[in-house]
Amino acid sequence: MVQTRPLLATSLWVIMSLILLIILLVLALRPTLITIADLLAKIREQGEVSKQLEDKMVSVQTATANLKKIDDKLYLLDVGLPKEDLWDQLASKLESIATASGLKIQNIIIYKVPLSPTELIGTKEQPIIVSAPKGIIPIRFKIIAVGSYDQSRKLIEAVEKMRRITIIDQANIDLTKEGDYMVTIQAETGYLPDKFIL
Amino acid sequence: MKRKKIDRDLIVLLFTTLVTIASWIGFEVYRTYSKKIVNPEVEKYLQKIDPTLNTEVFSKLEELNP
Repeated sequence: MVQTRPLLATSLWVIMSLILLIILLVLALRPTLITIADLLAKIREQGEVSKQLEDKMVSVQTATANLKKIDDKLYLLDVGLPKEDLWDQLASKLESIATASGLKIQNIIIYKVPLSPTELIGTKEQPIIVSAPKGIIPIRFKIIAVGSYDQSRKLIEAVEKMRRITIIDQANIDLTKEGDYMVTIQAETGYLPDKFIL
Repeated sequence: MKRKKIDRDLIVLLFTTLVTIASWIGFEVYRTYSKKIVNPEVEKYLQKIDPTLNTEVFSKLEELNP
């Protein structure tokens, strides 16, 4: 039958070949090619990851070398922004600078020290807006002292130049009835425990 | 004559299917090759860091009263 109709035989072979090719493409070639592509992608990605890690290691080594250069000065950071509130040291420091400036201290107030950067300061109705940067736990304090105008200015300057970083919110110098000057400084310092470091 | 036309149509249909499947496989292979497969856990370790340190801060702190 086939031999008597060669055209039909040819068509049948072409059709069978095409069907076989489609089956092979879908069942054999497709998974193989996808697996190859997947493996090639993984090799490429691993190469990129490896290069990025090498770059990062170089950066870490450079940073370590830079850190070593300033190793002896790192304590300044802990002084500027301690890990604990150290409010007793703050009180002593404020007292000593006020005395050193020659003023007569009338009052040193250290307000309630918050335990976390998110703790509300003040009341719900009247929250106090602090000047300390976000994330730092602020310690608000107030000094009231009496003396001459120069001594008052000296105290403000000393508070501003404290190594423990301090932001002065308000400074008033008022003339008293006795003819002295009363200086009132309201300022903020802060601390940052390890657990709150981002 | 009619049989011959059916054969030709079938071959055209099969050939078109073949081309479509070949294209589909081609695109799928390309998609597989170009997709990003880095684990997010690994990726967080790949974030670049700046190794420069602002040493001016130390000079400024040193100038302040101890």
